[in-house]
Amino acid sequence: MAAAPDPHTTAGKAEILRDRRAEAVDRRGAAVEKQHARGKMTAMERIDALLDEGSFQQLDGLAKHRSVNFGLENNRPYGDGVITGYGTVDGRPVCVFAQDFTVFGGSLGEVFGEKIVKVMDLAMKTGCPVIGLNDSGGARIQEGVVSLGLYGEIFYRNVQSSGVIPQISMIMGPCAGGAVYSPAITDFTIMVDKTSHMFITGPDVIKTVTGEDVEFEDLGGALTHNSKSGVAHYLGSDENDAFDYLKALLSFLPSNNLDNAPVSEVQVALEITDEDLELDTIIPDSPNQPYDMHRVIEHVLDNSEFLETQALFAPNILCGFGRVEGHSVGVVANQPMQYAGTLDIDASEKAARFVRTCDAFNIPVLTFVDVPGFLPGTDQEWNGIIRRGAKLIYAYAEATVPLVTVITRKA
Amino acid sequence: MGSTHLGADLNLAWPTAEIAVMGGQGAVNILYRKELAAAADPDAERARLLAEYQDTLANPYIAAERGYVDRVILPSETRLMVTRGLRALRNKRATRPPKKHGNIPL
Repeated sequence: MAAAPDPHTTAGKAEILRDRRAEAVDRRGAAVEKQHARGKMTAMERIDALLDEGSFQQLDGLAKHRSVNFGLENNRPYGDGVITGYGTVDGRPVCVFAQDFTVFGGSLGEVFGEKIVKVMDLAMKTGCPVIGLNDSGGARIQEGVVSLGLYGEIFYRNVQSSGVIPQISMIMGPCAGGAVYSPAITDFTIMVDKTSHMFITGPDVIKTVTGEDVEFEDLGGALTHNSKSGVAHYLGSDENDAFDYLKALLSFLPSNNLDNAPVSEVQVALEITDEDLELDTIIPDSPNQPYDMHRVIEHVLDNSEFLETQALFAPNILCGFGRVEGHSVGVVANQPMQYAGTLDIDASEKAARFVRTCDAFNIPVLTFVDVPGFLPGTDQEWNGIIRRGAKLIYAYAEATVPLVTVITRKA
Repeated sequence: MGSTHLGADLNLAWPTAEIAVMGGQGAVNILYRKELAAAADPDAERARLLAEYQDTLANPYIAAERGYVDRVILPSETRLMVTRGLRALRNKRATRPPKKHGNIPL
């Protein structure tokens, strides 16, 4: 073993820093294997998968918790269970935090929370998106109320940042209890199939209180939140698929509300093409016969590329991003293939939220209309289609971005 | 959804558009309830009235007469019209009345 570096010399000081850095690097072999066995990457691997190679700059890598309760003072790992910093995606700056499930189960304590708060503040100061990689057992019980205070600080920043910088939450493991409300406030939530869960109260508590039997996956898995609750915007088949979606999503969004979304170089045909002519026969003669609105959308967008959001939720309305002449547009369209394209509560809320997201970030909205009306029924009326359907009207009337409408059939 | 009255800047309609308060079936049942009840052959009468309603109202031209629809276009012209429309609107400026924030029904 080499002699300990002399802290009174410059060379020794540099050596001590190197040692500390080496110690701060992943050194939890068994925990990492467990994470991999679950089909999950570690926090650092996720950052590497998301950001441009070599662009990540870590902050607070040497931070440690200050808790002295329940023996916690004997275990003070560098970083405190969350990796934070900044880097680039497709050359554009982003701030990122990645909760590390291999350290204290990714639980949020004081220092963990302060690190997230710091990087969120940096994103606001510099006007860049903030991406949260969530994989956490929840509040760090040993740190008590301090941990809850930090959740509050994070929520507060989520709200102050809302409509200023894009905020995107990736759910890549458990995200339970109060912790769910940070992703819920952000603009987009992306979940990974089978490995991510979100719920306010878990299966055990539900069993105790209501007697209801429900499994984790059914209660708050990725499929549930993509299809039933509308909490999530995309169902990633695995973590890489989720990152691909995130990167595609970022390419349509500006870095902040005063910036323009990136414009891609495209050559669009300035005369009617053979593909354009296909639309002349898309509407069936019978008013009750459906057609796929996806086809209409794809005929209008550059390269037929349409990135749908919440594709599995309220499929009677389609929302998503595309480009026209290289410029981002948000598309809202009735889908006659589902419930004859009628509007219901879920469809109204989905589209209203989407229109407001576009308006906040200066993305024009292109609407395709073929709607026979609102879905009739006591279920809809008693669940508040009046006040909840009103959101869609409100969102359109409030929007100041360019609004272009195409009425294809019923309006 | 997306009507000019709600603030849309450009409203295009295909010739297949049916811009009306409600679909033909429902409208005929409401407008002609008494006539249909009294008719010798209600089904034939309903079909006749439905055709009349559709010929009169189920088209984009009544809305176009009033300027509720800016242009009636062939579906094949959609991509070009949308492209030109969005290009023209790129510098749109609109302001809302000063307020702390609106009160969207949540």
